[in-house]
Amino acid sequence: MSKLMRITALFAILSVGTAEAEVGIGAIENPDGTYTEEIIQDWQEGITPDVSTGDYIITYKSEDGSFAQVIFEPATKIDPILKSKFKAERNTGVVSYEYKLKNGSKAKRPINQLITYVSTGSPTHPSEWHGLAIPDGVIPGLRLSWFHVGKDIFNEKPGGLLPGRNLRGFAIESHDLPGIAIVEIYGARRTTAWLGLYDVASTVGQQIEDLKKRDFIPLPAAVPKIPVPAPFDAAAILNSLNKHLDEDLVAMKLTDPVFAGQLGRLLGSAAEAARRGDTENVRRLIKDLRHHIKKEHEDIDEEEDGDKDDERESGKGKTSPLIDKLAARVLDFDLKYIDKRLKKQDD
Amino acid sequence: MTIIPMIARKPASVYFLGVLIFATIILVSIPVLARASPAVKPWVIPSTMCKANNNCTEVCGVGNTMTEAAQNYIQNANSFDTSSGLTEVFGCGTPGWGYFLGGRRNDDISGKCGLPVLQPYDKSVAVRIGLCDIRRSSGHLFQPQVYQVVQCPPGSVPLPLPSPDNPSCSGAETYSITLSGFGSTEPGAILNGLRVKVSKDNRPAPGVQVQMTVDAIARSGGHGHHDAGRPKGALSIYTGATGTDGALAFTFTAPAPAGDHVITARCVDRDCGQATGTVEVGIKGLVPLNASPEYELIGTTNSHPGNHYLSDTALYRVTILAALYRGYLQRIQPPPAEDLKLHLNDASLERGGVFDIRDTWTRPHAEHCKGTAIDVRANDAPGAIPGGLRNLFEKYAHVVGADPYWDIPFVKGKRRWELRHYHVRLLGQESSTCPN
Repeated sequence: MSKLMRITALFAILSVGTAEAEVGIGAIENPDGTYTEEIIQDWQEGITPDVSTGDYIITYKSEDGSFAQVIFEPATKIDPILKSKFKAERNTGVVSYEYKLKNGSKAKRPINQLITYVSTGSPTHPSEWHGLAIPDGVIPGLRLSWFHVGKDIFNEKPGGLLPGRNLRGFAIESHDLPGIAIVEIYGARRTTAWLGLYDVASTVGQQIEDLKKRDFIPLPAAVPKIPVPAPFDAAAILNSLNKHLDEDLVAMKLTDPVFAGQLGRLLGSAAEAARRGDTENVRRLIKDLRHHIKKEHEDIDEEEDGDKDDERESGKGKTSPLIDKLAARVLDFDLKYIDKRLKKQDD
Repeated sequence: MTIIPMIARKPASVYFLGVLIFATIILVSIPVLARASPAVKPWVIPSTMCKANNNCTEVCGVGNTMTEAAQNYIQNANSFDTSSGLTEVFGCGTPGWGYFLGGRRNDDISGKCGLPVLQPYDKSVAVRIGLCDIRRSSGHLFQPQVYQVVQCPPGSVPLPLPSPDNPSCSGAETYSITLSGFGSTEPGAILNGLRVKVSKDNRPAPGVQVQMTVDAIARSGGHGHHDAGRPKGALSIYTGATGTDGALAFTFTAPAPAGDHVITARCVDRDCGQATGTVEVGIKGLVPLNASPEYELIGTTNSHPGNHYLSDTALYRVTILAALYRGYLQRIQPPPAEDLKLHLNDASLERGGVFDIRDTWTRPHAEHCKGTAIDVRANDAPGAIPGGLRNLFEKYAHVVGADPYWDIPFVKGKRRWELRHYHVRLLGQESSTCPN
């Protein structure tokens, strides 16, 4: 989602009408972290942006009936750029994924946590960071997190990747092929001290929930997503890829739906040919698919130098390619992988 | 009075054992009885007690009670039998019941009064027989027999010896009542598909008035405290008539607290026994968080002896969270002086629902109703998350997909700093929807 869209969405949240002011007793969190308590006044529930700080002033009625006004610092005072690299190890079949994270110089806070979902994999992490991939319990696959842990653990200040800096070393290895997933990127922030819980059923409660749900910067990344069955099953992989294209890439607006439909039909035909054991036809269809993709991004075979800030804008000779470059690279990589395995089988 | 007098030639002293015999010599106006309801008829002293009147169709005393019938009898008897000398009623009692089954009879069962021919009928009649002590002016005790005739409802049969307290004849009815559709429902939700059904000989009995009641079973649902003020489930119907299928459908709306509710159904206009069924109100599938070296369980009270129940996924997440938190702190160098582990306070009761920490059946302890949220100590008490580790804890919470709220309870606008804790939504917003 672009920053503009996110800002629009946020204003949509804040523009929701709130209840009328109500006289009551309550407490206010002051900007310096102190509290003024037992205030009797008119309270107007709602969320107000503080333009000077970028924080939100949230006024709500807590469960005990008293009012509270707290400061909510969003985790989005950051300017992240996330670049993905992936390559297959020749002998092991393992795919290595590496990420470079940059926090733009306009950011006000360090980046301190990244979260996404992968099918399988073992993460590694940069110094002073941790990486964990654990079953989510609800969503299939693993919930992958990298988070910053300061040196002085017992007096930790909100640290992480400072504005203007970049960091490599976020990596994961997997036997699964790449797909695209949204990585939630969080900035450091002050912990909100809720003065009693708000009622989520209330208007302001819903607004707070919406605010919290969007409280990260979402960026796409290539992650382990397409399982490679053992024994190798080209039809299964092609079907997974088709599903990913149809359900995920279109929803993420990383490809034009009509273009996705064209690719989808070819993928379906290739999967059907693979199911029949018609390897020659599968390879021909894969070639067609890669041709379609390369028409949008001719340079996807080139090794990324990792220094371009936004590779999604690098479609050569096209002002608006029909597929995002990262998505194109992922699809091409996966198709090339299948083709190589089929070729190896034939040999 | 429409009941033809019943002739009783038995000696007054033979009453109880003669019940059945009396029944056979009772003449009843069948067409009238066929229309009669099972309601109590007036008490009657038949004309055979009137010396000067041989007309068996005459009733000499009628009243709503035996005594009243006897008093009227004295008045009537004296009016046409001056020699009767009846003066005073000083006692009436109920020696017993008699009955006879319906059928065609045209014989003169008494041989005395030229009884009319009985009409065909298929109804059953129960007769309650009493005696009254009436004093004659001579001082001699006279005991007229007093009758009360009750027609049993269509298709029913009288009891061999109905209870004097129950003149309705239906004690031995073959009506039966059943309840169906029971199961479990979540707090605040509606359980549909409940039915009460009345049958007679396993066939639907339409038009039967039924009554239902509902009650919560004390100390159920994980609440070990008093039941005063406990909200009960509500039925959509409490009384009504069965339909053509003999059934009446209704719903049960569960209250916010979990617990078992017993629904009882009875017939209003006849005896059909009673049926009961239990609705289990609560969240299914909650499992207890067992003790572990990775965390400490706190907050158990006599009022709520099981305060650490969670859904499978929530339990998995908090277990991982606790293990990650403690595991990390154990690996750092130099290691902390104390074994820092999460102190896990209230999650949910064994079946969820309102977690009324103040035993009030209300929910100041919000979001602890579905086994998806848990409180973690974060104040100055032993084992609390130190202020310096709040960031670490929050990051680990995010790692497992939980949403931590650092909660400083406010009561009446005043901060209760000593009660601060992390309220952790283990499954996101889902955990925050609790019924009031």
